[in-house]
Amino acid sequence: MVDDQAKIDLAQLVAEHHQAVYRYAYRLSGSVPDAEDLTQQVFLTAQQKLGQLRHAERVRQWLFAILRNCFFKSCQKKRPVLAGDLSLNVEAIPANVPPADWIDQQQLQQALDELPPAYRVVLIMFYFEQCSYREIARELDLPIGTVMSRLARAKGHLRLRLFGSKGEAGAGQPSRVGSLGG
Amino acid sequence: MNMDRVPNEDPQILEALQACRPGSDDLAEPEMAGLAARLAESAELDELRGRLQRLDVTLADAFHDVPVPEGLEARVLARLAEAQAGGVEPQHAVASPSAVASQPASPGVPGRSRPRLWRDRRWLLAGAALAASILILLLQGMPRTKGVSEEQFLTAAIAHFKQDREGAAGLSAGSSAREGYPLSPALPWQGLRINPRDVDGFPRDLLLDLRGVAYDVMGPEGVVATLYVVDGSVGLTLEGEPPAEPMHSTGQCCVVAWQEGPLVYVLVIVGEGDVYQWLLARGQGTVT
Repeated sequence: MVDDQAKIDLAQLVAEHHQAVYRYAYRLSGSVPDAEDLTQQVFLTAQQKLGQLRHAERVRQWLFAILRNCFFKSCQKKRPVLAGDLSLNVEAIPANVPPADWIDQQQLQQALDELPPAYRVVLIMFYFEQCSYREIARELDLPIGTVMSRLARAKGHLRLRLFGSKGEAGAGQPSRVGSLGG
Repeated sequence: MNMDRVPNEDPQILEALQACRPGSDDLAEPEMAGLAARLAESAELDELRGRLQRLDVTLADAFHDVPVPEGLEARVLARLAEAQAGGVEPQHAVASPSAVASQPASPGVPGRSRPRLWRDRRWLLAGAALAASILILLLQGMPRTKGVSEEQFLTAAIAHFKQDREGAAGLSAGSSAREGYPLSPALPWQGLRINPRDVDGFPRDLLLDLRGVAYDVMGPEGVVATLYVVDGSVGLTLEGEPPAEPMHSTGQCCVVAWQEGPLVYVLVIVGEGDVYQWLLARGQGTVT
């Protein structure tokens, strides 16, 4: 039997954070069913470990950490790790940055899905959680240099897939967005 | 502004440049000192930083643009209620999120929960089985698996390689290499200058205590790659042949690992994927 306080806290937790957890899970997994499964897993785990939460103000980061663990455990299939060119391709950085809603979401997710999980997580922590490279290194227990290296490669891959080598959104495939130059 | 790849810029500066968040004080961190100095010198680099950070703002917004399925909150709450009734054990389910969806829905009634005594006995049996497994492993002398992740292992391998290179003058090469740790038949390296040497306690950082032979591939200015051939389980599921692409890279090095029978092969290379591809294809000639 769970006491009323725990029930209220858990329901509140779900109400306040399920959307963010789902969005994060979707970026990680790239599929709606897997994202929903991961979201449920996060709250099931949180339900069991709610008593271990020491800093209520960091509950979202705590849920995200649970999510990352669930995601890593779910990665059964081995994927090659991206080890691309380290040089920075300036052409893949659009001169005029488009608004976010001009970015093709399907292409964005496809680019994420192409990344190995270890790179994808670092990138999503940077963009979705807006973690610093130091926070990423601490959370994932990685050297700072490794985080920087992964970020650079993953961001390069993302830019290339979204903007191609000419700095145009949707350059990787036909897109609703045309040239953004000028 | 030159629209080609950033010319003559230190790759570490470019990595640092991309690690800085827009509107943050990341640049004030000690490890960013080199980047800060370069930005002060180069208006071109500073302009590039501005473009990258404007793009980062846009991408961060785009990352959050994910529609949430209707009814998700209700389904999560229902699942939690089900779990409270004893129907779901998350530790088992997290191994495969997709498998969670395939689990039969629990009615959440008392009959669903097994009696505590039965559950306790089940845990006792599981504990006994685990203890027996550990004992068997100990008896077989295979306690080398320390539960490291693939990433930890590969990172440690690169660190080991770098320490080897730094102390290259003190490495014993040639005649001392022990038998039983041959070069992989998957790597056609007949034409390369290779110095074998004994290796123990590989990789140092993880204290896995693996032993075997390290084959240093020599270039004009020293070691350009090392193939570590070691035995013993590293507790990882590795492929049976060299993978097509590097599995990990950091600090200007990349690494691959695979397993052939009882031997684990770990190849650490100075450089990136193109150098690895070159080594994979290498059949004749010398390293240049």
